[in-house]
Amino acid sequence: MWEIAGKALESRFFIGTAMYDSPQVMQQSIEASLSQVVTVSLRRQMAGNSNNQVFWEFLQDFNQTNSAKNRYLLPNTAGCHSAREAITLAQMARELFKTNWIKLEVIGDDYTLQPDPFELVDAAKELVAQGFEVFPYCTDDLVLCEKLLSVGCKILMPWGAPIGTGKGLINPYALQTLRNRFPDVPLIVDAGIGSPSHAALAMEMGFDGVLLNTAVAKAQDSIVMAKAFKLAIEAGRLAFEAGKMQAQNRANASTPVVGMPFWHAVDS
Amino acid sequence: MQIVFNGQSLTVSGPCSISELLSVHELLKNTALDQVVMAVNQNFVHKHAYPDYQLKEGDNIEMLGAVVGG
Repeated sequence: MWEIAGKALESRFFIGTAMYDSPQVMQQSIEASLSQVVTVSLRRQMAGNSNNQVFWEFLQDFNQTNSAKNRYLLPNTAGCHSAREAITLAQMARELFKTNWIKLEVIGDDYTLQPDPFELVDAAKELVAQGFEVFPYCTDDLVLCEKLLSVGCKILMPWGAPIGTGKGLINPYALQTLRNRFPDVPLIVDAGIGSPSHAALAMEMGFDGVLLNTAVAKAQDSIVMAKAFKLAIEAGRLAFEAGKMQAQNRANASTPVVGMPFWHAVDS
Repeated sequence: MQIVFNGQSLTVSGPCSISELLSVHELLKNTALDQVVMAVNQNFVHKHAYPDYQLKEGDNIEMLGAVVGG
């Protein structure tokens, strides 16, 4: 068990709800992941849209089973480009989803979907003041992360790589620096994860969790991939807790050399 | 008067609250009120304020609902 935002969780796998082949595949993938934190969003409501209704029913079911499974919704502010937009969307999310958790996204560049650090800090500061539990989606920049903590964020969610690229951890040095400098802050690698090995690596580095969506939703078999990520994240965490060996340049035989027959035998 | 609803121009007659807008123009149809949230001119409006919130000429109204997200 571990704790984030005052909630005790068993799973360290946060999963998104977008881009699945069908609502059924989404639901089964989430079940296979055993995730306890599921991301959702808000968009214009078109009257009579059956997809919205299906998703709403999923949310109702999710909420009804919440007490038994201890699961939580994490609404996002995806698509926002300014602090003002993000603050308004967060307020709307709080009323709609009845949670003060918000995955704060403020995009600064449309090609990379890189967060705008200045607008992000402004939005985070205001939302913390309004009682939100802010999960800021940020880059791996150390100073930005320090600023987010200084305005009251208690959690950081640095990217592994740009959203949806599947490139994995493109700057392990920066991520490790965050882990080392903020040993007591819950750190979630959010975005850019493409395969279970990427997630395992993040967990081996000591990150507290991983948030991903595309890598599961766009797998040929999303349900199996969700399970693969679950196992990888668990394996990575166990490896971190176990403490891995130090890498070295020189080979070192693992089989005992004492008693070796024909040791250094030379043909006569 | 003219307002903008979810990005589209909409003509409404006379003074109109958010609640009246939703009912007169059947903007909810089969959707329950608790499935939507509203903002006017990028300012969030609490649900309990819908009956009293009077819309003005040119107001930009957004009605949002839950969707999938990452």
